[in-house]
Amino acid sequence: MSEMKAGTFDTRSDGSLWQSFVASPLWPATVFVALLGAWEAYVRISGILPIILPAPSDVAVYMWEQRNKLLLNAWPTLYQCLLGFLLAVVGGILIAVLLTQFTTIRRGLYPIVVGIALIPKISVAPLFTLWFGAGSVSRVSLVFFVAFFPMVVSPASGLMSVDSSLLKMARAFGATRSQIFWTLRVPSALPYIVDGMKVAMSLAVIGIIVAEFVTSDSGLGYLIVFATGLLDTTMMLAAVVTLSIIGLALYFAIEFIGKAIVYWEK
Amino acid sequence: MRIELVNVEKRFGSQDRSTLAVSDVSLTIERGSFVSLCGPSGCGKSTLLSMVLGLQSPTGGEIRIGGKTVTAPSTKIGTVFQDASLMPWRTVLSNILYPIELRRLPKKQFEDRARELLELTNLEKFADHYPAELSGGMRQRVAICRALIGDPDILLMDEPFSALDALTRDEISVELQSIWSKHNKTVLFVTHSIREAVFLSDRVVVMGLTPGRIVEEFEIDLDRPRTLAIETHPRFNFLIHEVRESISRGRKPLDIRKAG
Repeated sequence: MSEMKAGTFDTRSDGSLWQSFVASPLWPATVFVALLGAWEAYVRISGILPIILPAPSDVAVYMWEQRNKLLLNAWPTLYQCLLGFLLAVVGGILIAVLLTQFTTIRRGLYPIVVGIALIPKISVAPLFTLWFGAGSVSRVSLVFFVAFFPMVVSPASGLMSVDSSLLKMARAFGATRSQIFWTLRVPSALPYIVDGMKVAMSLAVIGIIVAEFVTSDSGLGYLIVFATGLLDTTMMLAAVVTLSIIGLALYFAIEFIGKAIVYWEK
Repeated sequence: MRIELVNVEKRFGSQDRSTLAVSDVSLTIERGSFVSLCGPSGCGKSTLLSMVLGLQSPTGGEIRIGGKTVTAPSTKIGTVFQDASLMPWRTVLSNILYPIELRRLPKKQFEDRARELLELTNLEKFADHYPAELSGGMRQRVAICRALIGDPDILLMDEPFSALDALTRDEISVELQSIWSKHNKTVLFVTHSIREAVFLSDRVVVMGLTPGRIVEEFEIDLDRPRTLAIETHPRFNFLIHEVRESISRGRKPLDIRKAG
C-alpha cells in the first residue's frame, strides 16, 4: 500500500525503462538508424540499380573516399552563401531602420517591400546571370536577393514593436527620440532580427544552390548537376548530404549566436 | 515643490465631436504632502497625472510646478506606473540608473545611491538580477527605486500597486510611507483603492464621472507613522466610509444630477 502511494507521487520511478527511453534523444536517433537500415536492406534485397537508388553505405563510403572533392566544392558554396547572407543582414537592417524611422519612406516603400517579399524570388535566378554574368557576383547577388526581404520585414516589425508602457516610461523620464531608438527600439528588435536571420539563412542556402544550378563551374550545386549528367547518383547524394550538413551547421550557428544576442530570454 | 492645477481642462477629439475628459480641476498640492486621487475608471485621474507629468498638455487652464508652467517632462519628477515598465534586457541596477543615463550624467556616481535605494526596499541582493527573475512586488519596488534615483522633489504614482496581490500591497504601502517620510517628497498618488488612499495620504481627492472632475476632498487627520494596525481605528474606517459614499455620488453624471 505504502509502495503504491510512493509510486503515484514520483512519476519518474512509476514510468518504465521504455518510457524514459522514448523521452530521451536516443529514441529519435534509433528511429533514424532504423530508417537507414531499412533503406540499406531494401537496396540489397531488391537489387535495384545504384543509378536509381544507391545504398546509404555506398554514399558514406563515397563521401569518405572523395572527401577532398566534396570539401573543395563545399568551400565556394559556403563562402558565397555566407557573403550574400551577411550583405542581406546588413542591408536589410539598414533599410528596416530607414523604413521605421521616416514616415514618408515607410508609407511609400513598406507595402512594396512586403509585396516583393511574397514573390517566389528563386524564379528570377536566370535573370541574374543575364545581368551579372556567369561569375560569383551573379550567385552572391541571388543569395542577397532571396535573403534580403526577411531581413527587412522582421527587423522592421521589431523596431515598431516596443512595449507601449516602456515608451511611456522613457518619455516620462525625458528620453529624446534618439535615446528611445537606441535604448528601447534596438534592444526590442534584437529577437526579431535573430528570427529574421534564421529565415534568411535557410533561404540563402536554397539561393546559392539554385544559383549554382543555373551557372557555375564549382560548388555543391554544380556537383549535383554534374553528377546527374553522369548518372552518378551516389555522387549526387553525397553532395546533397554535404550540403545538408552545411545547412544544419549554419542554422545552429545562428541559433547559438541568437542565444547570445537575446541573452535575457530563456 | 508645490504643484498647482488651475481650472485644468482636457478635451479629446476634434472641435465638433470632442469629449470632455477632465473639467475645471483646481487643486494645490503643498510641498512635502501626500495627496491621492481616487475615483472610478474613466474619471480622468490618469489623464490628469499624465498632464502633470508633461506627457499631455491641457486644453484649458494651467499646471504649475514650483511656480513654472509645465510644458515637458521634468527631471524634478520621478514616476511609477501601474506596470513596473522595466527593460527585460537590463539588470535591476541598470534599470534603476536609466533616468541618470537619459540625463547623460555619470552613472558611476549614482551607483552608490542606487544600492542605498535597493537596501531601503530590501532588494540589495538583487542588483545584478534580471526583471524576469523577480516577483511582481519586487519589480514594482525596483520601479520605485528608479523613480527616486535622480532625487526628484515630486513623486507621481499611477495606480502603482494595482497589479499586486493584497498582502504584497499592504507591505509595499508601509514601505512607501517610510520612504516618503524619510525623503520628504511631494507625492501625487492615483489609485482605485480607497483603503490604500486613506492609509497613505494627507489628503484624498475624490474624482467623479462625466465629465471627469473633483467631487470632494478629505483631510486625513490620522497620526503618523501609520501601521496596518490602523485598520481597527474607528476614525480610519469612518474616513473610508465617507470617501466611498463620495465616490458613489460622483458616479452620477453632472447634468442628470441637476435635472433630478
